[in-house]
Amino acid sequence: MAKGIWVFAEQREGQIKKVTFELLSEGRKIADQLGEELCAVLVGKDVAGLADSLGKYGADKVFVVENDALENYTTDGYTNVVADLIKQYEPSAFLLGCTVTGRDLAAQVAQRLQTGLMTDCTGMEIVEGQLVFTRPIYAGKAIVKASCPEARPVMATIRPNTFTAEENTKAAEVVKVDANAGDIRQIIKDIVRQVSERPELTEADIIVSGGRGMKGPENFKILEELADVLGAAVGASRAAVDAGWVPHSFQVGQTGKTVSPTLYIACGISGAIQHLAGMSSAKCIVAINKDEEANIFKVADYGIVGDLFEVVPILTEELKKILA
Amino acid sequence: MKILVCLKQTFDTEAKITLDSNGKIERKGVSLIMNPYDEFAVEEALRIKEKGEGEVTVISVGGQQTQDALRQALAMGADKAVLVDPGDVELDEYSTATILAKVISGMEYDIILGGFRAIDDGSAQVAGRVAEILNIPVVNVVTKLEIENGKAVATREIEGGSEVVEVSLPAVITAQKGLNEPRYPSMKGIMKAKKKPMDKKSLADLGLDESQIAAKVKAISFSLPEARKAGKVIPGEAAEAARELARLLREEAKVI
Amino acid sequence: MPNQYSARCKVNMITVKVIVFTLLVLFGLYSFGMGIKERYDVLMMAKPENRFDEPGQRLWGALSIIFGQKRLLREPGAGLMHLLIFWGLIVFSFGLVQFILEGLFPGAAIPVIGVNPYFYLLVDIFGVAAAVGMLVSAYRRYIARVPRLGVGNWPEEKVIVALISAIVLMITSYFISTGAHAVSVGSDRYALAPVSGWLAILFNDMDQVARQGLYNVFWWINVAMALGLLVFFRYSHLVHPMAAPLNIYFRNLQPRGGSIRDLDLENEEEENFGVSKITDYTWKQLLDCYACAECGRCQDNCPAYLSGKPLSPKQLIATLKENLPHKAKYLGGLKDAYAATENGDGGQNDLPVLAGNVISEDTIWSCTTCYACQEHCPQLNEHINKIIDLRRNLVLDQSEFPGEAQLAFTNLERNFNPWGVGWSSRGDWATEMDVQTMDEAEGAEYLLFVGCAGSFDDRIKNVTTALVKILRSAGISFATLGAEEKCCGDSARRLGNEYLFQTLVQENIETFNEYGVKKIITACPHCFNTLKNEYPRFGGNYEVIHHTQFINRLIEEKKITLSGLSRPLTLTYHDSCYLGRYNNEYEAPRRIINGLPGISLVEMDRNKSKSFCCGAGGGRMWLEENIGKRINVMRTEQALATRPDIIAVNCPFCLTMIEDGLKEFDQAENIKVKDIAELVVGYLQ
Repeated sequence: MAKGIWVFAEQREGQIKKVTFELLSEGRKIADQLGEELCAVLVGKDVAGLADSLGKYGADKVFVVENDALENYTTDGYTNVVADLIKQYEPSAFLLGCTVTGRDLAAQVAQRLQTGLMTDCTGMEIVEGQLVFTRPIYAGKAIVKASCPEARPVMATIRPNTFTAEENTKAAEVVKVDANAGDIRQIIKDIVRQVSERPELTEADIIVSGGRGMKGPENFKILEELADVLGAAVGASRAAVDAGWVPHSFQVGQTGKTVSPTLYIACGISGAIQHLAGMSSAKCIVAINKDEEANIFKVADYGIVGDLFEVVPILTEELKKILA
Repeated sequence: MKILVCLKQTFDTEAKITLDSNGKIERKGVSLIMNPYDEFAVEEALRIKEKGEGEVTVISVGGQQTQDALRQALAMGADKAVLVDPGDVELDEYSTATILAKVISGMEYDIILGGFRAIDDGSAQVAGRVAEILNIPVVNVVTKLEIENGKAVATREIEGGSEVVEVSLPAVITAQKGLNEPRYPSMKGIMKAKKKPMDKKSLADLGLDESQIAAKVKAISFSLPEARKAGKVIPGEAAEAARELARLLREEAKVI
Repeated sequence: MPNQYSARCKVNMITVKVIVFTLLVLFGLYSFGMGIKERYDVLMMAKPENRFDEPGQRLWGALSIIFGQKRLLREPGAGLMHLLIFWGLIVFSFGLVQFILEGLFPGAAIPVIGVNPYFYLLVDIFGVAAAVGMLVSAYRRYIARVPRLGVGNWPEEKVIVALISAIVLMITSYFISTGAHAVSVGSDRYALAPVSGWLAILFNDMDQVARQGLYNVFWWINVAMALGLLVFFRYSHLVHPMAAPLNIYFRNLQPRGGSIRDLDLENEEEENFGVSKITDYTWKQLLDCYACAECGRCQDNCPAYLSGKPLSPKQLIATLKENLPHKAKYLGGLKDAYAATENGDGGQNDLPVLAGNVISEDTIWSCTTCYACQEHCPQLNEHINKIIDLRRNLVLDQSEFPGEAQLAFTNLERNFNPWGVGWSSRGDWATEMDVQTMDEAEGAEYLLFVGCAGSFDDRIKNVTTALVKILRSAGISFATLGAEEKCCGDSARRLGNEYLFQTLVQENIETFNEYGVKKIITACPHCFNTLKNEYPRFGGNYEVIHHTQFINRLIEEKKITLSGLSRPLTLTYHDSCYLGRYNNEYEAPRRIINGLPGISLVEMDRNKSKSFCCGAGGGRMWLEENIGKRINVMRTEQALATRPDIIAVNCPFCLTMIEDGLKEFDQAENIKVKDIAELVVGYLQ
């Protein structure tokens, strides 16, 4: 009988991802309810020192797999060691953060273990002894609850920020595992870090956009400052592009780029249909506009009727504090 | 170069989602499209083919209406299509991957492309599972791809940047937005597509029975999210409103 | 003896003269005939098109257009010049025949008119008129340098100089020769002829032999010029005088809004969609090129050209003409690609692809299909069809077009509106107003075809709701199609996506017929035009009414009354292309406006048939405007010149474009752009 709730401790360059702590904190509760152990799996090169922090968030046990070949994440390397470990210890559940790495690893491991995988989950509960996961589907337009009744371990990737990370005083038992990374077919030729460079508009999670209300090219600086705090991309409406304040590559809308970020902050944008066509699928829309009649307020989740030149700098300062 | 593309037919991004009388997702009256990420994969396959010699085969698992998505790929320039109609069976990603891998294992291939995820259930695992079953390497979320000397050099997205990964072919590569701009089928392409081969198979044709593809994951219930709440206009002076906004984004909307 | 000798000599002289003349005439006629044949051959290489129907209507209309010269006279200056040349040369040519005949056979005269002094009076007057006309044309071209006449191509200019000189010389030589002749024959035929008569007085004292010599020399010069023109015809690209009347006879008889050529998409034999090579055009489209006089009226009214885009309708026709596989290359500087033309296969395989090659993509995408070029073309040339055919080639054949167009196409395919808003929400605007759908309201008299903008664009929804209030106030029985309505297809067709257009048309017609729709009201002139003029070609025949026409009717039938006081407001009205030029509806909206209390209408300089496009037609609504000035800004500027309080429009695209334009001038808060329905609803009782 498979036992144990396992969490993949995702780290990159010696930093544990926050989502790991979130999963451990919630996993702790689940493990307690089921009366099972909560274990973290930490893979990498020279990562043993990070094991303590995992205990702080609730792990009973931390499996540390260290190997030079595991310095950087590779699909094959990580799949090999993680799948072997799971085969050996047969946990009942294996949870990963829904990140680029978590997603990549989860699919391979699930197939190798011939089990089910629920991805991008936003909820986890126990129903009649089964772990049941909540997943938004159709871009959040529907929600499904699903479980993996037979195959073990139950696998799921969970969206960051779904659970709250709660510190715990327990110290975890560290189990060092000698593992063979096996044949790694993905050869990493180069890793390019984006240093403070803003993300691509169409790929950005957060976009700060300006329209005619920006009044001039020089004022886009305040949007850039806000964007830097949020790690966001800067966009613009057609009016601002037509006025020549920003290049066409900034344009969001019918004749520009179609975006669907998690957060879209529209500053001084009236919200004409050609603009809405490019961004209305954003999960959360914030509008800052002087004109309370502006169309953008009809689609916005949060609106501030006011002078963006006052609001935006204060917002930037506030967010800087929160995110610090 | 034998290029395979796995593609899925999905609901249109703008489709209105409702539940049917059984509490499942209503499929009637919805515009169906080729999964946009798979469209990147088809485009990339065509570009690889156009650079040298090659043949592009598109494969899908789905009902008869899935032919529309395959025809679109043929109209774009793919050479052949294979459709596996599993009939009225509940499938999960494990089932679909098993079927795809079975079809593919009976074919010649140098590279297998697909979208990194589908826009409907967004599970981002079928292609990876297929690679695992076929025991070939996979590179996910690729935004740039070059093929040379039996190797694929792919730039893939990672958190906080990108990495360049090299794998030997055959391999599975999944496409992320930014890989290319898919073409719009020309009229000529549409006309030609009508005459291109569409190989339809059933599970029995593949020698699979339902137990082999039984879903691991079971859906328990479907629901619709609460209707988008009317926007909240935050009152107060600029400073006060800005502070409140920051708080709401963090605590209520949980987007930062 | 000497008399006999001189008589025989004279006879011989005459014989020689007749023989030489006959040879020249034969050569002239041969060249002329070959000129016709070669051009006929070119037209026969092109695709067929039936322009042979309704001969009576064609002939009668052609005669009235040609002889009335009404279109030309829309511009008094240039029009008068053409009138002088046209009528001048026609009447003068009768004199010319008499003159040549008499030169060959002394004493010969055309019966009745040949001996009538009034005939010579007319010939003189008209000859002078023609010469003056030609000189004015030279003046406009080379001294005043009217910009639109420039061809910027020197070989071509030389041909024009030669033509003008030849005609002027022909006329002048006639006068000199008849002047000399008049004295010799002592006839009173020229008594009333002012120029010949005056020259006769001048030559009166001249030596008889010199005078005879003068007569002979200039007779020959005249003949040489006249016959030279026939030879010139074969080799020149200036065949307008011959081709224009034919072109007018073969003019389009379809409604303007329904004159885009349908493509047969079921035809599996079809290799090209739209026009790839020049011979993919129909013969009539190529005849347009021959008919063009390069007068530049199209260019002077083209919003694309005037806003600095690469498209000039005139240049487009000229480029096509240069690319015709024809001998005129000897004079027109044509390319070697056509060398093969003479080798039997017509050289068709060597003809270049036009779209994106001979004619740039930017040129092709610049057109707003506003119809100003065709409205003003004296030859009734069909520029828009030519451009649409090239777009079709880019879209259906080459799959080369702006990314924004691809997005619009995909959105239309999936959600039946260009913005790609989910189709199921198309009828959502109506929920608050509780408007019934055809499904719910059985037997509704009118279908209200809302259109994409009226359904999805929040600004335009306001127009839709205003119209609903008006219809309700008048007690009209109407319903919508709700979410079953689809885009009418206007943009898809004009962007060259005939396949998508026909799909949308068929689907809409199916829905219309399912509900037994007979009458349709729409607030969008694009929907209006397409439903009214294009749907019948696909089997959808309905009575289609634009909302301004309908509202005007309601007012006239006193079904609604407008009253209320308003402070005096100045309003200017912008004619949309598709209601105005395409469907000739200029009056209904103006009548409505003139009946609104407190409103005074001030016209823009460019109004009615000279109205200036807002920039959104021809699918341009969905494309970026990166080159030159923005057309909507130009139009807004023209409207601002009337210092209006309100700019009234009848089209959702115009409304959007002009509102955007006002923002550019920071006037959006002072000046309101309103659809006629929005205006009317404010005065509703």
